[in-house]
Amino acid sequence: MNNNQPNISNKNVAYNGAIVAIAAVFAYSIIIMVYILIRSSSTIYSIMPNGERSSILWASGVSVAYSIVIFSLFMGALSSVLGVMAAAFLKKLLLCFNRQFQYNKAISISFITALMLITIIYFLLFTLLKDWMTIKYIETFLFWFLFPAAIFLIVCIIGGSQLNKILKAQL
Amino acid sequence: MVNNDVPHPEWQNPQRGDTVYYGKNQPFTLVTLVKHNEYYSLGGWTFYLQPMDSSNTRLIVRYPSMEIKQSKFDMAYYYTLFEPLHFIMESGMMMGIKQRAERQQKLAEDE
Repeated sequence: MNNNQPNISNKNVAYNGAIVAIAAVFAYSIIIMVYILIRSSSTIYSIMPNGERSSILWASGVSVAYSIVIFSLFMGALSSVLGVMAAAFLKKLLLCFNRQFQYNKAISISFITALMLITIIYFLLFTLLKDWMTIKYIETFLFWFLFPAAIFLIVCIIGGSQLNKILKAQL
Repeated sequence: MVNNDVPHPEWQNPQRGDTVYYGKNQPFTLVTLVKHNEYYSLGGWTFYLQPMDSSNTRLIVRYPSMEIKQSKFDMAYYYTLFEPLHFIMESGMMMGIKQRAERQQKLAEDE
């Protein structure tokens, strides 16, 4: 093995980036699904009369679950592209700016990469969609913007540190 | 499309045949049925208020899906794509209507 060329292939890095992104989307979707099911079920339970309660609970539960599954499939496909990009960027940046594969430096590079990508994505979204998007409602801001961004940041940092570990081991 | 945070007084008395735009420079529809504080229908998209007790009202929203499900392909599109994504949009919209109505009610009680 050439000491300066770690042998983890770009294809492998891209594949792992996509898988991690899809897994993160599905994990977030499950959390959201559980939260919405609990919230809507408790509202239905406290308000609806006994006779109608169980059928409305079932209808609401199935509709929420099905919609979130479909939406998460779409978001998973979109996020896999982002995962590939993030992983490819991370590998390039780690090889360029962290030749010694230091752990703290890898964390910093991953954090900056994630922050940069989030900024670009949100800038594009707000520029392209303009009035179609709003963050002035707290639930919209939290569930559609802040939490996904936080998850992306965490996944990028963990993924970057793992990639750094692999690159270091292969030297 | 800009959300309105408070109910607009000039929109509180819609009449049959009124034009309702989905947003600025967006398509429009006509009010086809309306009864003040009871129901309101845009084409077939209908908003119905069902009183439950002295402090609770149920908001029921329905739309005519048969218009969308004209062929097997349309039906597949409807069940796999349109309906789940529309459900997310519509439930968010209903929560928004609920929050605005309850906030307005609270303001009225505080005054």
